[in-house]
Amino acid sequence: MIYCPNCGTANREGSKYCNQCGARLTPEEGIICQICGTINSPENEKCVNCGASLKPAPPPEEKPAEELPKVPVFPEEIILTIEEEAPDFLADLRAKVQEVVLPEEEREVVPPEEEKPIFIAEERYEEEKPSEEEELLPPPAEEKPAVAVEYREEELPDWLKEAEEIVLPPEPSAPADWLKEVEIPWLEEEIVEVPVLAEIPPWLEALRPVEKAPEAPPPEEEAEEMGVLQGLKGLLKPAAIFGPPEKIPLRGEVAELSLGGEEVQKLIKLKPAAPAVKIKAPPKEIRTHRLLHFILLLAVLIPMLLGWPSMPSGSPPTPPGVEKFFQTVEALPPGSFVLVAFDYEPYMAGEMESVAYPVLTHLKGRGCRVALISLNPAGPALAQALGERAGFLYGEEFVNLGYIPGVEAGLRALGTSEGWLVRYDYLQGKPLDSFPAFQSVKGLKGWNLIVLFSGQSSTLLGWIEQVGSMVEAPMVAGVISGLKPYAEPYLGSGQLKGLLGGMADAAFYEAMLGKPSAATRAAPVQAFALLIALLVILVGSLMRGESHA
Amino acid sequence: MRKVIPILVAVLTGLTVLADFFITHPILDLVGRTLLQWAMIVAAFAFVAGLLNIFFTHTSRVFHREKGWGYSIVVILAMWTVLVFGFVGDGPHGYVVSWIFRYVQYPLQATVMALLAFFALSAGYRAFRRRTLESTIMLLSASLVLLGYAAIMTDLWPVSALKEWVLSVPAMAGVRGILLGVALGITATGLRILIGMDKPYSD
Repeated sequence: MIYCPNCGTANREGSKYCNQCGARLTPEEGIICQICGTINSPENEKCVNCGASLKPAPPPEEKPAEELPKVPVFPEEIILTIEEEAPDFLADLRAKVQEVVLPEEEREVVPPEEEKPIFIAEERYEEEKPSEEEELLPPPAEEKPAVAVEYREEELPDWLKEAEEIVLPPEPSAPADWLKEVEIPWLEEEIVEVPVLAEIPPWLEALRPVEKAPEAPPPEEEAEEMGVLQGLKGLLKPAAIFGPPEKIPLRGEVAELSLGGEEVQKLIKLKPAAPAVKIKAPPKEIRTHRLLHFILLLAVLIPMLLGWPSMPSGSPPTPPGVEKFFQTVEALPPGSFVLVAFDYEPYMAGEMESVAYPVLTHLKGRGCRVALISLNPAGPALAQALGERAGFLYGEEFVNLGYIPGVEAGLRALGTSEGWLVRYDYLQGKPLDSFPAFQSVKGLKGWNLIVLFSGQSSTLLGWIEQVGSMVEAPMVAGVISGLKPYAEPYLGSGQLKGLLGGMADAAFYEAMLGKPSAATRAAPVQAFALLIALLVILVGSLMRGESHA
Repeated sequence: MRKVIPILVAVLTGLTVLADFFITHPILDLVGRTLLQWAMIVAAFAFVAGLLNIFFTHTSRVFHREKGWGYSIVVILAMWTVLVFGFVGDGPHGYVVSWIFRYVQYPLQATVMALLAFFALSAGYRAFRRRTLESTIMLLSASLVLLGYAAIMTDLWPVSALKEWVLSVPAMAGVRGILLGVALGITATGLRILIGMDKPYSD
C-alpha cells in the first residue's frame, strides 16, 4: 500500500495518484518515514500516516577533544572478532537451549529467509542515516589502535582469551571477493587490518550477491475489460483485504512500481477525451408534473375569468345534511340566541368563510342574536370580520366571546360554568354582563342553537362529545369538505341536526336561501377543476398502467 | 417522594374530574369546575412558553449564523412587531394587528394551502395506478368520489347520487370504525393514567 501524503488514504502499490484526493503519491523528492515507510512530501515534518517525526536526528555537536566524555569503547578488532565468532557461539548456545527446552521434533534451525526482513530493514536504515554500528563506534582516529592493543593485552578476561585461541584459525585466509564489493567502509578497513578472518557469520552471508536466475515468463494475466485500463495486463494487483503486511517499498522500488502508473497515464492520454457533460434538461417526470400543474392552473383561472360554468339551471337534489341545516335555522323564532363557534385556521378561511357566510346571513335574516366563540387563537379575528360582513350590529345583535383555551377542558368548563366563562368581550373589553341583549344567556345555558364551523376533527368532536350531552339546544355543523366523512356519522345518529360539507353544500345552502354569494360563484369552478384533475389522474393511470415509476 | 407526588396529583385530579362528570354534588362541582379552569390557564400559558421558545431558538440561530438565519430575523421582527402593537395599541383587535392578520397572515396561509392542490394532483397522478386489485379498487373509488363532487354542479346527478352512496355506506363504515377505535384507545389511555401506569406528565 502507498499512503497518500495529502489525505493519508491507502492506495494500491503502483498508484501514482491518490484515489481519494488525486494528490501525487510518488513525489519527485520525498521523505520516506523511518517507521512505516510512507512517502511524505519534502516539506512535511511528520509522517502523514503514523505521525513519526521525519526530521533526521541532529548531528552530535562537535566538541573539543578534551570535552568529550570518556566512554569505554571496545576496539574494532575485538568487536569484529566477537561478531565473527558469534555464529558458532550462538549456534552452540542455540543447540543447547533447544535440547533443554524444545522437544526433538520441533528443533530446527531458523532458515536464513526468515531473517531477510531484518536485513531489508537494516539496508533501508543504512540508506537514510548512519547505521547503528557507525553511531556506536567512534570515528577512525589515530589513537584507537594503541588503545586496542593495550586493552587486549591487559584487560581481556580469561574466558575471552580462551575463545580467541579457539576461534582463530591457524592460517589466515584472504577475504572473499564478493565481500570486497560490499561497500561498508569501516568493515573494509578492519578486514584489511585484521590478519585472520573467521567463518562468515550468517548476517554477513546474507549480503552475498545472488546471481539472478533466468526469470520465468510471467503468468498470463487477464486484461482489463472496461474503463480506462481496458487492454492493460498485469499492472494492477488485486488488493488483499486480509493477509500479512506487505513489504514496504523503498524509494527505488517505488520508482519501479510507479512505472505502471506512468504507463496508465500514457494510455489515458492516448484515449480520446470524453465528451463534455452537457447540462441536462429536467427529467421527464418533473416536466410531466410541471405540465400537470399548468393544466390545473388553467382549469381554475379560465372558469374564474370567463364566469363559466355556473350553477345548474335545473333542480339538482340538495344533500340531506344541507336540507336539515336550513330547516333547523329556518325553525328558529326571531330573537333566538345562537352560539356560533369558529374553529378553523386562517388557511382554511377560503372555504370555511364560503360555508359560514350564508349561515350568518340566514341567522341575521331570522333576527337572531349571535355570540361568536372560538377554540382557536385566530378564530376571534376571523369571526369578528365575518360577523361585521354579515351585517350584525356589535353589542346588540352579536358579541364576540373570544378564545377558549384547552379544547376539551375549555369546553367542559364552558358547560359547567354557572356564569360567563369569559368575563369580557373580545372587541371592546367590556364585561359581558353589560350587554343588555345577552343578559338571558350565560355559559351554555339559554341558547336556542349551537352552530359549529370547524376545520379540524378534534374541535368538532370536542363540541359534540363534551357539550352535546350538556345542552338541550340542537347542534349543526359546517365543515371543510375533507372533514365531512367524519361528521356524517353524527348526522346519522341525530347528534348533529344539519351538516354543510364544503363549498358545494354552501352553494346549495345559498340556493335555498335565495342569496347567491361566494359559494355560488366558486363551487362550479371548484367542480370543474376537480373534473380536470380526475381526467388527468385517469389518463395517467391508463398511460402508465402497471409500470412502476 | 419526587416521583410519588406527581402521580398522586395526577390521579387525584383525574378522579375528581371524572367523578364530577357522573356525580352531582355542590362541593364536587366546585372543585371540578376550578380544576377545569386551572387546566385552561395552563393551556393558555403554553402559548407563552412556545413564544419564548421560538424567540430563543431563532435568536440563537442568528447569533451562530446558522443556515437560514436571515429568516430568523424576519420571524423575530414580526413577532415583536405584533407583540408591541398588541400591547401598546388597542389589543388584538386593534387596527395594526388586525391589518397584519387580514393582509399578511391570512393571504400567506391561504397561499400555502392553495399549493396543496397542485401537490395533491401530482401525488394522485403518481399514486393511482393499476398495480394490484386493492389499488384498482382505490382508484375506482377515488374516481367515483371526485366525479361525484364534480358532477354535483353539473347535470350528471346520477353520478352524484352514487358518490353519496360511497360516502354514506362504505366510507362512513370505515370512519365509524376509526371513531370507535379512537374512543376505546382514549378510554384505555385514561385508565392507565388514572392508575399511574402511564405518566406523560413526568416523562
